[in-house]
Amino acid sequence: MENKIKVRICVGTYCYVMGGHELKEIKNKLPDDLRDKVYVEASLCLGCDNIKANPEPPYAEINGKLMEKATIEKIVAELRNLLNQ
Amino acid sequence: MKMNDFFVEIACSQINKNGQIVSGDVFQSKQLKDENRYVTVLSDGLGSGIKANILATLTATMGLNFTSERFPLIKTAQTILDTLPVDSERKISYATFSIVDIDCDGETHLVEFDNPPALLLRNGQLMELPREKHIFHKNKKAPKELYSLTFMPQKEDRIVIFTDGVSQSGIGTAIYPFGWDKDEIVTFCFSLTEGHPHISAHTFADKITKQAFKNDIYSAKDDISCLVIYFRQPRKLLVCTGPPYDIKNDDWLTDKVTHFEGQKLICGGTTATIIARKMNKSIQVNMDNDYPELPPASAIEGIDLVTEGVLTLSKVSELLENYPDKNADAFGPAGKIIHMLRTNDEINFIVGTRINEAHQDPTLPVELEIRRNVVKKIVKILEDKFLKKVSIHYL
Repeated sequence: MENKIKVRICVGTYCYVMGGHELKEIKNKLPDDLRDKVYVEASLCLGCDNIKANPEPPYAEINGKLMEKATIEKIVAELRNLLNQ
Repeated sequence: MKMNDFFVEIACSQINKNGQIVSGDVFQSKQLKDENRYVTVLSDGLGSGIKANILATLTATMGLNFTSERFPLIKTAQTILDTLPVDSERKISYATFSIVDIDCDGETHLVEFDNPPALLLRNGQLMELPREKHIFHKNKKAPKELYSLTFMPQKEDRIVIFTDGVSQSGIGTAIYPFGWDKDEIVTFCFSLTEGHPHISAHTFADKITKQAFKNDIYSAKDDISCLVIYFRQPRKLLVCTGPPYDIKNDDWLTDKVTHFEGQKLICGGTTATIIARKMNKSIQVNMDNDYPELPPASAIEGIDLVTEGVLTLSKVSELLENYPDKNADAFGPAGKIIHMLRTNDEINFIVGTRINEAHQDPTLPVELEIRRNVVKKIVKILEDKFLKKVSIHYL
């Protein structure tokens, strides 16, 4: 698990309503080649409301880095980016 | 003993006679809130089906209302039997009944007319209390016998009342050629409490009717009904939702949660985060929830259930309103909350009133209601429909 990329999905009310419920499905929607390299977990709040005055949910966190307006496609792209480095 | 010291759980389970769409046994119960009194009746009408159901409904309704008004016992019985319509085939009018009247001081009056005698169970033993016999004449015909009994219940006492569908179940079969006799029913009752001393009245009654049904080889020969009254310690539930308005109260809230004796439920991500941080515990969020419409439940050690706040509570309110139309179990975290609310007697809400800034986004769906309003709705339903004792504390 240590070598895996850690993805956290916010399932707080705000993010969940604004698209987080689709993000949560990422576990089952990851491309096959990424599946073993990523560890996905949910979080009650990633602290988005403290970030700026107009938060842009839903939020996800990839290896500690916050991503606003997250979508499955954006997360997958970011994962590939990290793996290619 | 005062009535406030214990909770009276009353439940009845019924199985219709094979082929009948209604039961000829009728159960009615009423809580007289002003007097802190409970009156309950189980009646078995002559015959089966609709005709029996009408006789039993008449009997139960009259029994319930006369008893509530403290009408004299014999007069009640006489009036009931004189009022019942005469059966066109059998040329008699008849229905049996058992009435239980639990007064505010706990004193319990039991009246029985031709139903199998009630079983009073205390500390794993059958209490054999003397019954008073009353003779009365219906229309100056053959005398009829009525039995009454008064006793003071103790905590964990149970009263088990059933119709002859239970005591005569299995009649003619190899195991119970003369029906399910009293000793065997008593033994069965104790087998239920063994290992499960706090079994609910509901489950207890269900198990008895199911066993009677089994005795009849899964084709009930008569309407089967069992009524169980269980005097018990109230079951308490604490529901925390919303972060406190004043951050200084976070400690007070956590203290309440840690020291509460009973089940604990937290609805709200921020609230859960605060409490978990103060308790020095971690939160595990469950990714695979079975009901994707709501955010998943999570777990904190020492808390029975942790869910999301407003969305889940709105769903709970909707489900409670339509209860029992939909099978609540199918609604994930909301279903779990419903189960907790149903199984507890005293429900204490602590509602934090801090406004979640993130929820003020105008693009959010309107269903995202104000927490206080949702809680108020739930409380009203719990009080009116489910007769729960509810308190709310705003923080």
